[in-house]
Amino acid sequence: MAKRGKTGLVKKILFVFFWLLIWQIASMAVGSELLLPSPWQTLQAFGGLMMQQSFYFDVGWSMARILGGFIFGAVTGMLLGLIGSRWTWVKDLCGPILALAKSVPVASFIILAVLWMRSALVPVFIGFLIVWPIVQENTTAGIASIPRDLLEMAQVYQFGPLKTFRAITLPHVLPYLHGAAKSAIGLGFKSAVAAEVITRPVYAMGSRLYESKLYLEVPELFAWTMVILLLSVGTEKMYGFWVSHTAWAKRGLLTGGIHERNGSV
Amino acid sequence: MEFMNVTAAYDQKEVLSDFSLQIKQGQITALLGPSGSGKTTVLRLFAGLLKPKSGHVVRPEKCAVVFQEDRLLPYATLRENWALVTSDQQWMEKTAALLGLGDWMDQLISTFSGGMKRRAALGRALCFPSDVFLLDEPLTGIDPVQKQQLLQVLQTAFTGKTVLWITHDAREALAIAQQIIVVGGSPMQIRAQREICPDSLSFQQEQDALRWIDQALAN
Repeated sequence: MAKRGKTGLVKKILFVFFWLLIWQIASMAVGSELLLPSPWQTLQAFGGLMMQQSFYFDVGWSMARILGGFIFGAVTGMLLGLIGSRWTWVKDLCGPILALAKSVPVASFIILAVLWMRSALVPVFIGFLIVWPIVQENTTAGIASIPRDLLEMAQVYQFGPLKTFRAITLPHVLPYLHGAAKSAIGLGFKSAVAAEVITRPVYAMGSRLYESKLYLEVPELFAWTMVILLLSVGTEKMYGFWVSHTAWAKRGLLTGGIHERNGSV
Repeated sequence: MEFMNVTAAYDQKEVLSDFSLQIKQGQITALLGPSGSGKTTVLRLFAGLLKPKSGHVVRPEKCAVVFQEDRLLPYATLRENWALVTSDQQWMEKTAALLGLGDWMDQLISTFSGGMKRRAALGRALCFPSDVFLLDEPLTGIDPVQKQQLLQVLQTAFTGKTVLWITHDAREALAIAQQIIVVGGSPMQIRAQREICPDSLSFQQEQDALRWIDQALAN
């Protein structure tokens, strides 16, 4: 098993090197740093960025906005998902807004949001708008997956609402929320940075992306893109690491195994 | 516990029609009948999980139920499953020992075999502070040797309690019940009923009782 894991890692590293090589060859073929900088030039630009104090402010503020939007969207989605499962009119009421949030291009919302609020808040709002529908729909699906038999058992044994939520609802919603979180983190990053590019707050990774493009500092543009990519993947990995060490994961509550094992219920 | 002229239906199909039944307090009553005759409907009505179309159901405020399915939380340990119905740790330990689950208290239910899950479901009912027990085929899936042991354990545990024991196994009913009600037909009707004393049943009496049950089921 460990051997297979090691081979997998070596394979992954080799694939990354393969694409870096393609990038290097392409950049040599283009022959212009302004059009396509090489991986080494990008790395140099990245080193240069890390030497500036403002880099950390940009990263810090952007992360705060992204996480703010994520948390705000996740909490709203979970609450509305729970309430909507109890009172269907709430679910129906949210339906058109959710459909709108899912189908209207993010850029339209960003431009509208610029008219409504301070530029620094727009990325938070956009992150919220992307995360909320994903979490609400998954919460609703998780609640719908609860076997009726278990709810009857809870009724007979007089669990009450809190015990029913803790013992039955939460464990059934968790695998769905876990799936939602995994896709929402990446999407939240993408959309919030896109909002920063358009609204350009003082300290923001998106603002630096825009400036790099404006002043034709293409290696910096690539370096910032790399930073955003690393932060997005890093956040996903950190979430995955944290979640895999929780008691829920150890009980197979996050893998969907709960539904397979419920066969007899 | 009592049904007075109860009519119950799923969708349009009537399972009980103008049905009356009385379960004696402090006794084990076996409701014996073929599969699909509507015995589980009786349990659901007494448990308050189904409302009658007409008639009146006198039901307990609180009752422990063993469903036909285990209805345990597979992602929780046996202790956690039982702790949802009682906070008495000593009682839980004692019940686990009685049911042969003493070493399994902190194991996840998902690791249990079918027979162990059945005993765990029975244990949950025994842990619930109630004087009324509704049991739907409680010993299904348990091997014959353990079944005999469990029947003895449960007979002691249910002393003085009001128990409705649903089964289609005539020998099981004879081994534990003080009153046997044989049901059948569609809608369900009482075919025969009689009181017995399971402790002092001779071989001949058991054979007679089995013949009586066969006849009642055949009618």
